[in-house]
Amino acid sequence: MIKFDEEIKNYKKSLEIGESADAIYNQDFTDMADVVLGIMKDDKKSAKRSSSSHHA
Amino acid sequence: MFCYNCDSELTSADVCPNCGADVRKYKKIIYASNRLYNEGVDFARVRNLGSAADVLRQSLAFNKYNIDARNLLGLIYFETGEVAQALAEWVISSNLQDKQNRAVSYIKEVQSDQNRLKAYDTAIRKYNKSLEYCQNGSLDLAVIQLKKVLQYNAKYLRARQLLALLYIEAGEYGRAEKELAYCARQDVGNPTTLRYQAEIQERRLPEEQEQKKPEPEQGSGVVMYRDGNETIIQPSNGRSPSLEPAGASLPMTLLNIGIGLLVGAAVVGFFVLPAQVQKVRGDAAAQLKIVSEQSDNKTATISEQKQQIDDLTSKNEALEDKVKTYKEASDSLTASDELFKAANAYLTNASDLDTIGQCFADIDYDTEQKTASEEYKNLYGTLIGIVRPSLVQHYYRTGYQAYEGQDFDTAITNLALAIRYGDKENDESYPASLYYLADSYYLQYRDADEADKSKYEDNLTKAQQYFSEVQTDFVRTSYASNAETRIQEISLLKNQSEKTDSNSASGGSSGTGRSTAGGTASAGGN
Repeated sequence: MIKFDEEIKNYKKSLEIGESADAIYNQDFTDMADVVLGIMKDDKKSAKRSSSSHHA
Repeated sequence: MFCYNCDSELTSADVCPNCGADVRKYKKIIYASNRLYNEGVDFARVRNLGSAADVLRQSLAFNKYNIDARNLLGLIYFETGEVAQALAEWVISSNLQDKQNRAVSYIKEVQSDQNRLKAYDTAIRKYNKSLEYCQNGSLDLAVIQLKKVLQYNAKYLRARQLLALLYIEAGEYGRAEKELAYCARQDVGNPTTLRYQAEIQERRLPEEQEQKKPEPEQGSGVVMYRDGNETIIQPSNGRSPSLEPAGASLPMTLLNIGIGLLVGAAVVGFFVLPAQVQKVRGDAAAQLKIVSEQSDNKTATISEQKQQIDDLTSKNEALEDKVKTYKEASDSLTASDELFKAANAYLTNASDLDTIGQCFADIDYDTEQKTASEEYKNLYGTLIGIVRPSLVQHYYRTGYQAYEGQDFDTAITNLALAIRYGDKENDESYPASLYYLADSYYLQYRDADEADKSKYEDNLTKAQQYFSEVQTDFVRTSYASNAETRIQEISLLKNQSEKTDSNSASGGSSGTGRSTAGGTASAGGN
């Protein structure tokens, strides 16, 4: 059984056309590729550090 | 696919052919994004827009540069009435790739029709407002607002779902179902739509079970059942129910009749009467319009007639002027006729001075002179110049003979004409004519009987005037000296006449107190 008061909370205000710019600026553009590539870079850096400390 | 490091095109190898970067994981991510995009396309093709949007968002979460996925997500937003979000996706897409990008044409198409864009924006604003109404408990206002929202943008899925929810809350399941059916067609498999439909089924279920075994109330003679939200009441069969059917109680029958009457009155009150009132108002408005139009027509007619009167008046004035002109011309022609007659008389018989003179006498030259043409004046001058001496002599002789014969009327007429045509400076007969004219006036008065004297009472004045003229203009002539004598005689006559008048006046006005003296004077006078 749906409870109206609870159900109505699921409805959020729609984005008005004038607010489109805000929506664009506030969007998080980080994607999975950024994350993975970031991890890969970090791995390489840490690998370099460990090898340099090992040589030292 | 391009390398994330150097932007070179990748091959099937696990490393970039240009920079040697390891692209295995990167490729897996791009493939995952593409696979999700393909799923999105599949969902979109069967109008499962909600699922399509979900997988497309996931696709973009893997690869934000997946332009097709972003464009399709924008399209799905647009299709469900989320215009602002659609535009946002397309703007991002066109910024990421400004060439060969459908998003650019989508933006142009939406922005080209400003009225439609405004309608979309209004729909969103009203939806937000109706959401506020819902949260404040003003559900009726929210329903009204949402109906307007759907007029502005019928594709607004969330607004329609909210409207359906409000109908469910109000128990108007039929309407809610109608809206949800639209939502289901618009977005197949939308979880919210399905949930609301299930909710309606659930709420209706007990009633439906009851409806499966309808038990018409045999005793009441009517069958009551529900169709959606409406309760239908109808007779159990085609015949009119009898007042006392078998097994029916009289109070139940009366109750049903009462309900029927109430329903009938309600129908009349809510439907028939307003319609009648509306009709009467409409008729009155129509009549008012007709009367107003008639009034306008009459006003216009009056104005036209007024204008016609003005035109006719001005035409009449113009015609009157013309008539006047013609009349003057006619008078002029009449005068011309008289002159022609005189000319003709002279040419026919120059010695017939009586006829010639009569013709000239008929010409009122003093009056005609004002309007006569130059030719008329010349002809008159020439003709009178020719006949004048003969006429003067003729009139003088005739007048003098009449004077001698004491025919003073004829004498006065002829001598006056002799003077009229005469020349004071050059005509020898002029002083004689003037003197005998004056004397004719004088003698006509003097020799007249006492009874006729009143007829010639102006004669003395005229005689005095002409004698004075003779005395003044022809000094040292016998006429002048005789005229002097006549003037003295006229003075005496006038004095006598005045005395006689005063005596008679004093006798008449003395009153009763002096009647004896007045009577003696009067007798002596007589």
